[in-house]
Amino acid sequence: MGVWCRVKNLLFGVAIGRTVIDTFGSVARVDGISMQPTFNPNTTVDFVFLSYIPVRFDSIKRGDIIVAISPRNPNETIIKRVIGVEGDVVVSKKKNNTSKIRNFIPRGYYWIEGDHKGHSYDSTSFGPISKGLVVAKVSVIIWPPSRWQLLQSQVNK
Amino acid sequence: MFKKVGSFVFTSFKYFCVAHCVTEHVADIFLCSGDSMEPSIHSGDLVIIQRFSKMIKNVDKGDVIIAKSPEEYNKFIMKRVKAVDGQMVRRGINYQVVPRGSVWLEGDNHTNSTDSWDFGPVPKGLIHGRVVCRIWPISHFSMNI
Repeated sequence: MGVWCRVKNLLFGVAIGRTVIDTFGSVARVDGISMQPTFNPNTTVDFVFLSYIPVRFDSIKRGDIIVAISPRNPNETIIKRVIGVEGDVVVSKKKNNTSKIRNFIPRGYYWIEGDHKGHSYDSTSFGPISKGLVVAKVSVIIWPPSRWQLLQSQVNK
Repeated sequence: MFKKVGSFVFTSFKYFCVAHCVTEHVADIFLCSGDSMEPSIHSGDLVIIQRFSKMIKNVDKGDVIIAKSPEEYNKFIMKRVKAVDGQMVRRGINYQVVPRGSVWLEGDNHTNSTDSWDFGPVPKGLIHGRVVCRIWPISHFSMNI
């Protein structure tokens, strides 16, 4: 009886914890250089808080940093900045090419790019991504303590 | 009295959390509507889907799946997988190669279905689950759809 009771309580605890994490948010590590200088400016590794609530209520604006599932590999997640929302026209330049490409973003899609131009695998290579792939919004760096800060949404010209 | 209400609320919260975990990570029930899958699934059928989670990620040609619609992220579509990454699809004179990490979805009812011929290949990250069996109406219970 005692063992069964404990197992039951443990299962309930796991379920409650999982639900809270799925509803509010979790912590993730940022790998790679694609978002320099916002994340990982030196050799340190940043930990960020992912909040799932803004995605539910569709309150993602231009300039926010988001986490999405990579459209080319479903096991990977990517962290990028939203450059354009539905209805915008994004003008991008190809590498070693002066001609400009105008991309219209259809309804239900985002255009995302890394802050480190040229060293980022983003919408310039795979096109706009569907809103359903966006998992979370990133608003806080929580570790290391010296870099604790709220992230502002900014639009680079 | 107060204690009783509190314990009732806590118990229902506990079971709600368990239900959330089951529907999020194991299996879920869906009510189908629309006629895009007409010969195999009719409007108003109830199906059980296996969640396409981090653990189980195999999707094969011929499976019926539920995915988030690429155009409206809070709607779900139910289609059949025609091709997975690297394979080629063809209709008439049009043909396309499905890129890596994506699947090609088509409805069984070709004449009335909004599918990959309209919105292109669908990334695997949008897949919500795989249809396992139909449970309602009971007379049409079947495991292989």
